Amino acid sequence: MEDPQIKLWMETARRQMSVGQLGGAVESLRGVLTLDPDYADAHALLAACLLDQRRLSAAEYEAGRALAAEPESTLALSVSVRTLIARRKFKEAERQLEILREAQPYSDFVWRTLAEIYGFTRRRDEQLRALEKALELDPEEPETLADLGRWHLNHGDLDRAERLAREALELSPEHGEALVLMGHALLRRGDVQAARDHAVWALRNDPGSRAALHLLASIKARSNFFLGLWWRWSTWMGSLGDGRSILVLLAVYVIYRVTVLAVGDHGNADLAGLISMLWFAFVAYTWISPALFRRSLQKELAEIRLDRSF
Amino acid sequence: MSYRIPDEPVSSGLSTMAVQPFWPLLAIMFGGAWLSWPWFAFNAFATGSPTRFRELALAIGGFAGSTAISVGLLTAVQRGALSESAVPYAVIVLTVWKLVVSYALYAWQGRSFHLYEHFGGTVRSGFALAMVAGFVLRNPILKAFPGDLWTLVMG
Repeated sequence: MEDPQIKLWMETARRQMSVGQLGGAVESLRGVLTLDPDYADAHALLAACLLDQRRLSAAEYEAGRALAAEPESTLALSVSVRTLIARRKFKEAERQLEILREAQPYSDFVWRTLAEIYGFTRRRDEQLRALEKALELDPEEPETLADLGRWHLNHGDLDRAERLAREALELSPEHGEALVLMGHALLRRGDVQAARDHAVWALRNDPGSRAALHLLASIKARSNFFLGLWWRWSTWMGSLGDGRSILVLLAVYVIYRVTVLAVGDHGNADLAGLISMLWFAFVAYTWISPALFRRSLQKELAEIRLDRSF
Repeated sequence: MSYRIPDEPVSSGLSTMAVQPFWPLLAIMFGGAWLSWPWFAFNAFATGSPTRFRELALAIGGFAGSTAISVGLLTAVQRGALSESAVPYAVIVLTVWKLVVSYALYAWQGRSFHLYEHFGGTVRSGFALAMVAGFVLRNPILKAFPGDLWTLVMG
């Protein structure tokens, strides 16, 4: 029989996770694991919290512990698959999804997640088939409707994308992905204001949403090319993560150094000086740009007053 | 003893000397590798970083890599394989290597540092050390040994 203290902490952790109190949930689960270090469900829930906190290596470790304690646990497998996708280990994620599909053949989650992997690995037709299968299993899942709508938007079927976004929003009016999808559809139809409303609404629900930031960047690009470019650059750099953004900056540095040396070798010292000054301006910009971008985003969110019709 | 999540920092007697990883990163620009990489390694232990041994190994590997690149450069110049005008281009390889190592250390340490701060770890300002070591000690240290190898590796 389960220890009453463990039971209480598990219930508390689940409640905390449902309202987004991840820090509190981690502490509750720590309490459980202190008493029972091999409790698979606690490791799995902890992995889910760490994944949402973007502590990916720890999430992978905890998901591994959950699976080691209970290899057939569907909760552990589900969390582990999500963790592996976040770590971009698609083959292993697909292998675990197969086990999950055998255990839960009628789970729309399995097919939707499989579609996500197909999307990352650019298997577009398989992605569509997996999404249609997920929708067949649960026609009223907004997540699937939004994913399918996104697929059709990317393949140029604007009417279908808009219809699916509308269906998803009727089922769940605050659904972030559906809001962003609708925003993109409206933007393509030229309704910039309504697209902006949808982007801001999605950002209010999730200020870190890369998809919503990307939509806002597309909207900015409509009104001002350079401002749009800046938003796109900032969003893109933010989405790359530490490692890859550093590689981009190093590549820019190498290009700068080689250009300056080559220009200098050809006797154009003035131009070399100008390029150096531009480089220093760029370096200064990279130091202050995250703060500038955050401020610009906050201003954007503060300025918006949603239409009554929205 | 409560359950410890693997990416959480462990307590250390050096924690009163911990600084933000930003300062050792800045030190590569103002002082050089001699200041930056040992500081990163020390800070990894001060903050109890779970990757502290990996960070120490990277700092040591950084010096080994710099030495190999510098020896290669100097040998190529001595043997006439590298013309004088090509030297500045070749030095870019060394600079990029130093930046890669420094940013990799910064990225690793940055992740655990957020948790170190989250759990109430003490954080000192590294400004004074970066400035004093960078501007006052830099030249005496880089000129401590004759020849170009020391300057190239430590700079």
